[in-house]
Amino acid sequence: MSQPKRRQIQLAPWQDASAKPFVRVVGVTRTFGNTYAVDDVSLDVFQGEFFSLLGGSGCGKSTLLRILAGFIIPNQGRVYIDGVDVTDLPPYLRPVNMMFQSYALFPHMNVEENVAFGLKQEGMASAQVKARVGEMLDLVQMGGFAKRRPDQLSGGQRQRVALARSLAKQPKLLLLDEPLGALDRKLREHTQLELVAIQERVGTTFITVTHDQEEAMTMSTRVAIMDAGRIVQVNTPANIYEFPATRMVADFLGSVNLFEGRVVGTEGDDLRIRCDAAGCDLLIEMSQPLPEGTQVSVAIRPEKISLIEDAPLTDHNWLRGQVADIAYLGDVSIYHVRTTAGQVVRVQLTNVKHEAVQALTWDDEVVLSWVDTAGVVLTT
Amino acid sequence: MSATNWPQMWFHFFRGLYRQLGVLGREIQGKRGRAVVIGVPLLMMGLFFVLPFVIILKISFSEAELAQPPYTSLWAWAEGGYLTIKLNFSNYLLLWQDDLYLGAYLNSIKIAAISTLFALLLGYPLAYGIARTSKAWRLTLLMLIILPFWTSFLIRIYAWIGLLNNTGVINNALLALGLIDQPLQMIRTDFAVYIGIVYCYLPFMVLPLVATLVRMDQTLLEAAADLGCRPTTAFFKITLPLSMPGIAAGCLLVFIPAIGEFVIPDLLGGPDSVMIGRTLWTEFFTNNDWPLAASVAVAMLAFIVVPTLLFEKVQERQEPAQK
Repeated sequence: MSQPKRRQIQLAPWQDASAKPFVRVVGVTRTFGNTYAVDDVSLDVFQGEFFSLLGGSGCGKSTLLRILAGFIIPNQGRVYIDGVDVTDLPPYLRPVNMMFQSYALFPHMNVEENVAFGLKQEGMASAQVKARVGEMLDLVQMGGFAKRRPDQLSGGQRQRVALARSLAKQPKLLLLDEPLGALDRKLREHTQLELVAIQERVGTTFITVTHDQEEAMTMSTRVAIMDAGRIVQVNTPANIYEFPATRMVADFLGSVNLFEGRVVGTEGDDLRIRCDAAGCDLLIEMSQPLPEGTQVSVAIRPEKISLIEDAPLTDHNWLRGQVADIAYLGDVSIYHVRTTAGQVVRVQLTNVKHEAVQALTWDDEVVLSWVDTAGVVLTT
Repeated sequence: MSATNWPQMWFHFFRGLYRQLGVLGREIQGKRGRAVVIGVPLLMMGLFFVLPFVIILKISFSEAELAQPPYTSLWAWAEGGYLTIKLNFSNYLLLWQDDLYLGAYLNSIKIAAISTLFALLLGYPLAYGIARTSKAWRLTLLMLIILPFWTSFLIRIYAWIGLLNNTGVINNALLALGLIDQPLQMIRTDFAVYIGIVYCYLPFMVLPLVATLVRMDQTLLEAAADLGCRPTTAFFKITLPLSMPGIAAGCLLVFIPAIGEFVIPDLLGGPDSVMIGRTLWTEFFTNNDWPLAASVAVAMLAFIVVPTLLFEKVQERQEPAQK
């Protein structure tokens, strides 16, 4: 889940207080009947970012994207792109292009005409249009398909044409609605990296909507997690994964073990949390001081728990259990361990050895252990 | 394996045989079913279209005479066992030579074409509106479009006489309002024929157009807007080209019956709006010239088959794009 370091350093304007956001969404609300599709959302996206809106279906991410494109007018709030208030501009006057989930290629035009469509609307000279179309088709490696009609292309090829068409007008902002949703798994993985490469080459700001967390983590500089019309957390993929802000985020992004407990004291930089369901005390590095008696959840990722043979001598951060279930996934195995107090804990181990020679099997007694930086204390 | 289990062997034998028979039975049933499904409409077509057409074709090559039936037989037995067949082409030659018939054909095409154009200009916005409303409204509006069919076609045309007459509703209203001094001559003009045809065949234009427009993917218009296209431009560049199959279907459904229309020009049209359907009627019932009437009918059919084939071609070309 780690990002290449180069991009992190190049693009971290959100940490720079003086940096000016390129796209600003300020207090935007949109209702459909009685439901709040987007509920008082504010968001800053910086120039050159690959920004992802991530959430389950009905969380409002698509509505927010369509507000940016101009297809939906918000009930409240303003949208600024490059310093200009575009809230009331119709889609055809916005410096924004969108790649549709269904690609929305014009079926009565060939690939070339599809890509040229936006340029011709601008009144660009035909020689220039031709050059630009050729450039765009080369960018997405579709140069040999200029005369084909959309129904003569495969799903992956259509996706490329849609990308070329949406980039042809050199928009200030490109919106992508589930850009890889219609591709099969293998092609999707390959296209994710390619999309990032294209984005770095053209330097356009991308905002994408996805429900696929792996896709969001692979491609994005930053991710916004949405739930029930609100943005719950905005950060880099690594920060969201390692330091989720709420139980919902922790649970939505990857899998997590949640230990419910209460704060019983402070020991150095750590909080001591008593967890009756797990049957042990947890000592977890604190992000903020919490008073004794506060009800909290401790989120620990399955890969941050280790299985050891003998119980350590400390009185915290370990517990005994019995292997209840094993899910062998090839590269890793997930062990479901039932603790003596009854809670089931997921532990993920990398299969460094051949499957047949691994020692653990069903009903084995094991000891689970973790360090104080393995978990995050959550109050909401 | 010393003692053969005979009962079990027989059981397997009969079960296998039974299954084979079952497969064979289904096969035959399937084939017969297919033959029935195709055969019934084929029989209908043969009995009610091909056979009458052959009879008409036969009559068109005969000569008129005062007899029962009023035309000569095509073949006769001559002396010495010869079978003589007499094909009379003079009817067709007359159609070509006499200006009356050619004029009637051309006039029919003109009236049908102009009516089709007006039906399209009126029907397209109507269909567009219906296709863009909510589903509940769409059903209601489509019902309203079809509603006139519940009344007899003839009665609806008579109703137009009442509206367009010199002493009809429209003229009376205009006179009462003081907009005109004397009644407008509307009845017994080509204008009345156009109104009658457009009124009667509008549903045939609207229904295929609605079907095409409803099927159209709305995100295509969003994509066009997103690429900088104003709504009016988007209509001409996206909606109109993609609704071509519906336009073609609607136009043919109006044009073809309008060419052969008899009742509307007869009741609403003037003496000079001679359409081919009316000519046919005159030849058949007034002049009692069955062979000539038959050749008029055959020629009219040829006129109608050509646009139908053209339509098929358009459909074929559109089909891959529609996929």
